[in-house]
Amino acid sequence: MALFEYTGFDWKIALTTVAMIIFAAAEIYAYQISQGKLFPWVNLAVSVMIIAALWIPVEFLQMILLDISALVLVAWVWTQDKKAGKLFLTAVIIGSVFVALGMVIGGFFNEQANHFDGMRAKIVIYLILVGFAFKLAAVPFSFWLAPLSEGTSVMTSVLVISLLDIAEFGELVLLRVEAPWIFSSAAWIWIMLALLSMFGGALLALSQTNVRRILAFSTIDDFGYLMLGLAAGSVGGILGAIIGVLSHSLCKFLLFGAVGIAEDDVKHPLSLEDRGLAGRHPVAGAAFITGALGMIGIPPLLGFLGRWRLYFSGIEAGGDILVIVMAGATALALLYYVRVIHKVWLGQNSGNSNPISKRYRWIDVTFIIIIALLLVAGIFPKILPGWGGR
Amino acid sequence: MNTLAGFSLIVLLGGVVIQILFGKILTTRLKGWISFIIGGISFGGILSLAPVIIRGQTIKANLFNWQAETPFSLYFDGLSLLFALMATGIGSAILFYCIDYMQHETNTTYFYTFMLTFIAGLVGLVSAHSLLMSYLCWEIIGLCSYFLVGFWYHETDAVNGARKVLVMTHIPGYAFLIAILLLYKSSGTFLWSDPAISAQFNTGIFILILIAAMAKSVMFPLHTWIPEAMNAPTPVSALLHSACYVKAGIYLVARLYSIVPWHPSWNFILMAIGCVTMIVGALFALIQTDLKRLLAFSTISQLGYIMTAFGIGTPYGALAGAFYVFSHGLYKGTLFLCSGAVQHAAGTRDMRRLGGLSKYLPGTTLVWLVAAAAIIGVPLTNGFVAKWLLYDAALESGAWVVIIVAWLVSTFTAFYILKATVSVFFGEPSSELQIDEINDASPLMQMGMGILSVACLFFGVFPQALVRWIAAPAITAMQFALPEKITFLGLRVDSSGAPITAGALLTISALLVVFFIFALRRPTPKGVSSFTGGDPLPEGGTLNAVDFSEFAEESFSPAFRILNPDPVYLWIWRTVTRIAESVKIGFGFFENNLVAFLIGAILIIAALVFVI
Repeated sequence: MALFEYTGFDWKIALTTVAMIIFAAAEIYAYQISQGKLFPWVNLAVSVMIIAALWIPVEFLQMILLDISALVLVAWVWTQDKKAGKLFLTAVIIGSVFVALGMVIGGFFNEQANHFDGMRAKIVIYLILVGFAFKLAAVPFSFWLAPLSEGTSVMTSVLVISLLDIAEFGELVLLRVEAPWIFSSAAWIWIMLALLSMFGGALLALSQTNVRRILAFSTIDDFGYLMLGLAAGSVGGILGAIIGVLSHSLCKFLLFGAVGIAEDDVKHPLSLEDRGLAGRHPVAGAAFITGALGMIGIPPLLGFLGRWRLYFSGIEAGGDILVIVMAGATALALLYYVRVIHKVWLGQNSGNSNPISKRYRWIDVTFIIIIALLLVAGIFPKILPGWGGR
Repeated sequence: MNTLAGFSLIVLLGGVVIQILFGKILTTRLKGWISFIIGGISFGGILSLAPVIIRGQTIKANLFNWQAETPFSLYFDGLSLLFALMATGIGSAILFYCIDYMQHETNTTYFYTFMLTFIAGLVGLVSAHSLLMSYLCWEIIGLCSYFLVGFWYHETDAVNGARKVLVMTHIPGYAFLIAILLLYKSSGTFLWSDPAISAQFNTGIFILILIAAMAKSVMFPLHTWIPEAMNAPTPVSALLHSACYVKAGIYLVARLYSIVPWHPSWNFILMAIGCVTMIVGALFALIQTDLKRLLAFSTISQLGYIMTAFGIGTPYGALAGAFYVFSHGLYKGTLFLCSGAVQHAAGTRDMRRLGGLSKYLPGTTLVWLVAAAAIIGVPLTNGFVAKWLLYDAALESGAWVVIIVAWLVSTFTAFYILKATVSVFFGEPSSELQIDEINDASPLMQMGMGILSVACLFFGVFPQALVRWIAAPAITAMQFALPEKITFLGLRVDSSGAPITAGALLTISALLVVFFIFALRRPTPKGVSSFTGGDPLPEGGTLNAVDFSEFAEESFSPAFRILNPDPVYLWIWRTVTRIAESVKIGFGFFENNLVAFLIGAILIIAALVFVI
């Protein structure tokens, strides 16, 4: 069954929309704060390949395009930070090989995704599970994301997290609908992996002082929820994961974008030692707060439409206990985001607190548009084509 | 009529859009006037629904299709009317006060945008037909309070207060969401009026909803955020305490009567929580020296009364709760606005630095005295009738513990409000005050608070107006029948008996005890700016709020240690951060031995998939 028929949500249109927004926003961002000479071209190439992968009907080509995008990004990361590049390359290679093998053995490229029993099924499940865990930086394979976020320009992180990872996750969503047995046969392992990512990501984020590392671990935390939605497999769970991942994409742009502006001003990596930056960058402060609240799924932002469904899928998959555990993980997420918001952005600025009004004008406009989009999409999701869902 | 159901909500949100779009070109005062007019129109919109609702009908409307399974549908009944009137009516008075109060502030577009959204959020909450929409509005008012408490976001105290508001109310809010989703799973609907919801309701769901309500409505032990939220602009505090925020939890609990017949244990739980909260709030109010913090703790105590009244679970209890919740909104809003006027004029709200302001702030003093009389339950004020009804309900149902606690707390209330009144408005002015620069609140500000205090008197003299038009429809919506008539001056004439008289006597006796002690131990007039609470004065000594607070603190010191849950929360936070640090160390170890770790992880997952 196709994803659209199952959920009533047009994934292709939605992701294309978000990918185009991220592409445009990243270009504007790079125009005001340099992200490297070649960044606009890297951004263009990756965005075009990801959007093309969405619309090409051949599954094999989709995967090839996504892998090429990943390798382009690996090369781009490498030029900025060799160590991060190596780790990212390791994850991309292992993830891609595992997923490709799983797809071949499972017959997915031949459109013969039948339900196998016995060892062959287990091999497919194993390869797909580990492969996507590498690609999506799920715990315990999350080693590459924090160094990448820390060592590269903020928009590079956005391309990896808000475009590549989202598209990879989309592949997993499609698999969930086309070959549900991959998940249902090993549901508890998927759930365990999801919980590990949730709590591991949240606790690691809480223990960091570097804001970019916090954001990297928050991504891992959030992917835990999204995977749980897929593990549940219900319409609500899958829809929750899809909406959640789109919200994730936009929120991460706001979060990394705001950090980039602050770093461009203070000239050092942002950490919990910094104070009161919203005074100098009110729009960036608002963007960071919105991004954080959106990640946690606080209404009326778009993230809530995904998050409540994910909680519901938690009830479906694991009953009262699982949903309470999920709420506990969200509480942790609130704590680490609030920590950054209240230490770094709000409160008294130790240095100059005069607002910088014009230097980042176009980025500010971009932030405001995305904030408005998150609000409008959260309150009126049906006005966006294909975003209604069931 | 159905088309009018969403009118107020749309008007309020329209006001938000106006503020956002034209904020840059409008003057601060104009923004204030526009907000007030928007608030007034929305109040009128709610009032226009009243005749139909008073006749016992409900009004339903679908605003738009929010999500596939959950339309944005409204459901107005008597309970919605009570809370929506409070939000828009008191909210409008506060917005009127803001016109002058906020005129020298910057960033007022932000302020008015969130104030209007705040009011809209409560109207949305109380008129939501879908539980998921209730949660949406629940969190919207949570966010508004967060942003408004942190309005002065350059000030560390303000943002710390905002952080505590967010963390302590948002996290328990998940209990509400979980309850909604559990109900949805078992009933297949989000509409609370659907009988399927009632059929699936159980004690677990009740507890979950209660946890969320307790956090919003500052019930012990989830109350400690509210005193920290006092670094907000005073109109925000007024709105938070009187109409829009703390009442949300009360609404939620009251709404449960509409949804499902209550199990007796639920009543007991609610009464127990209410009584403990009453005591805790009053005890902590006794030791405050900051006027707004004192009022904040008084809110905790007063909400304990309201929760207890709803916990009694009889028609009288519901009536007392409904009357009390509205009355509290009026007098607490007034008291906060007065405290704002004091701070505005004197530059401080520290009672140790105040005194003798009645000479310089006659208008504010008069308004304060009316509201103070109401909160301590002086006859001819709405507060008296509210307490009287509560005692009546408790007497009728034989809830003796409630009577004793409520009576005791009434005396405490009288003590701390008298302390505040005398410390701020009477006695000699503090030497730290620059008397020449003190001016009374502007006419607009006085009108804003004056309207509310007049309402306190009006509903004290004509309580039947509040009962018949506002409280009765509310308790009907809660599935209770209006028990008796309340007539002129609050005296019931169509029924007689000891409980009724005793109820009134209990209210008055609590006051008499305090006044008696005050009369016996009256402090020496010379140089005295504060009432001691009965502690004998050293000859020639000068008293202030500190003396009273220290006296209270010494008297109840063990209780203050036991009843402060903040150390527990701090312990939880420290434990979580310690665990996080341990995880970080573990992760660092794995990062340093990456290849071995990855191979190990891959093998473990293989074992899980293939072997188990």
